[in-house]
Amino acid sequence: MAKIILNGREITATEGDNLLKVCHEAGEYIPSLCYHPDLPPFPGCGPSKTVHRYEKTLENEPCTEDPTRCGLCVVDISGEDSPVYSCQTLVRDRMQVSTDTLEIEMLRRENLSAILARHPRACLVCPQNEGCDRLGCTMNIPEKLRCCSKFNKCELRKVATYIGINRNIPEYKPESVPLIKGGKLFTYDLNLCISCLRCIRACAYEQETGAIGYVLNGDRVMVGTLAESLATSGCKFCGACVAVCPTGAMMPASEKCGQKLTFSAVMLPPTLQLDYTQDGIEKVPEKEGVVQLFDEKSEVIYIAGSSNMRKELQVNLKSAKGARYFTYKENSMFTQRQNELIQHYIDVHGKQPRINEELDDLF
Amino acid sequence: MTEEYFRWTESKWVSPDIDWRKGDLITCGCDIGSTSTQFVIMVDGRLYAYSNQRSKGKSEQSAQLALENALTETEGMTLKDMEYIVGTGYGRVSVPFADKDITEISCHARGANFLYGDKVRTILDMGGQDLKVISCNEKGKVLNFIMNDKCAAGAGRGMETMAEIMQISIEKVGDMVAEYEGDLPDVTPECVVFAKTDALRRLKEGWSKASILSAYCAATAWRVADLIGKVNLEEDFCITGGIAKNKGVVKALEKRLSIQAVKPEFDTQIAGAVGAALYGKALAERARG
Repeated sequence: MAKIILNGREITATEGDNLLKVCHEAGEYIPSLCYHPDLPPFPGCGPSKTVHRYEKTLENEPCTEDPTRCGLCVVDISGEDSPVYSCQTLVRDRMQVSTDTLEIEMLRRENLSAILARHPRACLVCPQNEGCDRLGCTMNIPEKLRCCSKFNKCELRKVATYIGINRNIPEYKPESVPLIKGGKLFTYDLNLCISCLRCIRACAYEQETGAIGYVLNGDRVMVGTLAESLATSGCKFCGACVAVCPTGAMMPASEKCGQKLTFSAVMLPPTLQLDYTQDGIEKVPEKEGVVQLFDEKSEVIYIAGSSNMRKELQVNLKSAKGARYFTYKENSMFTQRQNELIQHYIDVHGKQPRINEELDDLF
Repeated sequence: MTEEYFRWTESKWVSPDIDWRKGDLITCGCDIGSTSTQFVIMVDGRLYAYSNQRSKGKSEQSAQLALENALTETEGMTLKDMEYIVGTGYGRVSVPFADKDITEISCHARGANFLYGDKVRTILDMGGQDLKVISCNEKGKVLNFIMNDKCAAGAGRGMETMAEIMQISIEKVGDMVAEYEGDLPDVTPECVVFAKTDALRRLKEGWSKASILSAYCAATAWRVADLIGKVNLEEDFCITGGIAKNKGVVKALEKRLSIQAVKPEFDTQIAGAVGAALYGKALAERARG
């Protein structure tokens, strides 16, 4: 048994446990993209001799340095000179860990910048992104620079939003690797790959011989198939790669993709939700804006724009069944914003939030 | 007095066939929009009376005026006779006499289902400040919903602005455009601000007002068709909101989509308030037990 101090809180753990895992289990969120609770840590295996990215073949260029990890899980350990990667740190008794200092925040943003420099991200930083149907862009950003169709469920997006995105990231230069099809089950768009290598580790986890690998190419880690195609690489089309990919690089094309797999859920960044009580709503300004109600699982159950947010919350306090938390955001164009968010919700869930349509059963 | 070209006719109506005193359950809907407000009175789920007028600066005032206008020919009905009132739209929280408020997408679908029939599956709402497309089922339940992205062009405010610049009464625009058969100048469909500059430039070049307004309506229809293209356009198709009264836009739209819209019998702007009144009826019946 070991005791560690995590952001001032005492936690019990076992010596030798993975520090990142221990923090997550204690409810302390630490961002990461290459880490996955079921898989060995990055990189998981050595580079291959060659990989194929559609018709292009890449040779491994041996390098003395380790392949670049996502670097987002950095934490401060008392006694260490510089921040360490929590995903490859083991718990020691009496360890003192800080996950939320200013220095750590800045370092995470820097490391995130390196990842985003090679990934289309215009929608991530757009102030109008939540609720945008992304079918046309009023900022006139070309499609190749905008986010892909995974936008609403993208793990990279959630992590990037949590960490914060620096302003001075170099312009993204689109690559042009054609799509690689995994039969009718899934598709690879390697232009979107951030080289977290979860796919390769997941492939090895599910199958004895993997079908995908990576090479070191300059300062980049390039993922590809081991032979010219997935089929000739021995791919079993199990969908493990798709299940763990944090971006739109590997996407399912059919509901059957990855049906039989049971990967653990990755811990996602917390969202700021307030307790939906009389006390909780006292602090809400009586201003124009949009309110959202959430159930005990933090799922959205009601979206409403109002000329008076506090009144809207007050009126629904007793009648909104199952509502435990709420958020509010000021916005003078609140009807439009409300409709954008409802549109977004229907896009993701196929119907309106529960309380928005709760009276429908009366008809 | 300077003519206000943007000003459309306000309306009110009372059913000649219904004696509300013989009815059992009176429920109402009040839809306070950014540009217009409607008040609808239903007796036992039948449309009895409504009013449609420009919204005032304050939502409470809009609601009050709409209520008063709707009551004018009801022969003595007052607030006390109304068992349940539902507010919807932009200012719904501020309807002082509402028993409940409901977001307008749901109200709109129910209202369109009532006004245009239970075969309606796709509703295009061309409102004061936005365009919405709603897919619904035979009961008027919302299945899918999409709206335009942050712009007034193609919505009521855009049309009001064009009428004002061209100095043609907004009510006459529709007929003028529907009759015009000639060539159209190129216009910028994306932005009302640019549409203004475009329009004035074309006038100087010698294009007629009818041609410019036709181009604007065609551009509106083009923009709307683009939006509808994102959902499954299924018959019956109906158009609600103020611009549904513009024959020019409707004609251009029907042509573009190769579909006929169901023709409305009532003021096309009352769909939201009708839906609200229907929710009121369902809620009142539930309260009665």
